[in-house]
Amino acid sequence: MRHRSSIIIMVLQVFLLSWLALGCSPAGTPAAAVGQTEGLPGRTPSPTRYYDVALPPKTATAKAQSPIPAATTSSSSGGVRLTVLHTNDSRGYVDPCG
Amino acid sequence: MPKGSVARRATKIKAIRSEAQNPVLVLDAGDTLFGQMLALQSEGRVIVEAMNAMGYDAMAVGQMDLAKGVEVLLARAKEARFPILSCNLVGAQEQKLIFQPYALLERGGVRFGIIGVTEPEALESPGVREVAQVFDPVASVKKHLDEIKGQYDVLIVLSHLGVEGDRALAQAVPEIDLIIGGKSRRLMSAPDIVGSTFITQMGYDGEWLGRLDVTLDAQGQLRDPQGMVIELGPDVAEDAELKALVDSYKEQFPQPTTEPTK
Repeated sequence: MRHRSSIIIMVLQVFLLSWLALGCSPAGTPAAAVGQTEGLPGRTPSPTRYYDVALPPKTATAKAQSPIPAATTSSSSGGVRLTVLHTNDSRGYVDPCG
Repeated sequence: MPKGSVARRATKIKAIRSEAQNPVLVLDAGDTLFGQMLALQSEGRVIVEAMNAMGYDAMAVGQMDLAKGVEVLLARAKEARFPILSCNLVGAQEQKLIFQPYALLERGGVRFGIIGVTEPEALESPGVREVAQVFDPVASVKKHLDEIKGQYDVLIVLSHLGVEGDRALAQAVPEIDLIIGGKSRRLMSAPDIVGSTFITQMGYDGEWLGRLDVTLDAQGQLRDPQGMVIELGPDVAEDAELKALVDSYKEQFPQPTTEPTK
C-alpha cells in the first residue's frame, strides 16, 4: 500500500514537472486569472548579493518639469504620440505554442 | 494553430520600430525567463539573449523569473542590455533591494520613468523565501516615485501583481500614467482605465505582442489610448537573427524526445 502511494506521488511529480517544462497553455482563448505554477525542485539558498541602491539617473537630466518636446510626431490635436510594445508571462517560450 | 515564438515577435518589433516616427518602447511585465525546457536548460540565457536582440527597454521581475533562484536571475540581469526591475524584492536579512528598482530612459525627447514591482507570491519560488522578502507593492512604488519626481514626463509601472493588484495600485498612486501588467494573463485589446491611469496586459506564453499607442499632451497627460493585440500566427515571418539564435541553443541543449523510453 505504501509502495503504491509512493508510485502515485512520483507520477504526480513527473506530471507537474513535465507540464511546467514542456506544457503549453490550452489553445484558443486565454485563461482569465490562471494561477502561477511552480514545480521546480528546491535548491540550497546561497548568500544574496544586492543591487547597489545608489542609483544615478541613467539618461535623464536633473531638470525639473520640462516642456513636452514637439520634435517627434504630433497627433492631429497636439501632443506627442507614443508607442508601447509589451509582453508578459511568456514563460520562456521561444517556439510557437498552442 | 500554434502561435508565438521569439522569431515572429522580433519580426513585428523590428517592423514597428522601423516604420515609427515617434518614440517606441518595448517592455515586459515578468514571468518571462523560465518555463519552457530550452529556457530552463539554459538558465534563462536564451531568453535574455533574445530580448537583447529584440531591443527590450525594461522588464519586471515576476515569480517565475525566480524559478532558478535569486542568484541565477542576478546573473541574467548582468547579461541583459535592459534593466530587470523590482522595487519591492529585498534581501531577507539586510532588506536591501536585490534588483534595480526603476529606470529613467529618454526616447525621442520624452523622458520615461519605469518602475518594476513584484507580486508577494514570488517568495513561493524555490529557495527564495530563505533569502528574500517582498515589501508592500504600493508603499514601495510610492517610495521610489518620490526619488524620481521631476525626472520623467511619463511614469510607467511594470507590474506582476495581477489585474486587481494593478487597479489597487492605480487608485493608490494616481501619478502613474500606465501600468503594463502580468500574472492574470488577460488578453486586453483596450486598456482598463482607473482615474487617469491606463492598465493593460497581453495574454501569455508569448503568443501575442501588445501594442498601445497614446498621446502625451501638452499638459503632460496621456490620452487617446489605442490598444492592439498582435497575434503572432504562422502568417508572421520568422526573423532570421532570432531563429539562428534559438537554433544555436537547441544544438547546445538537445531537446528530450516525447517518445516513451523502452
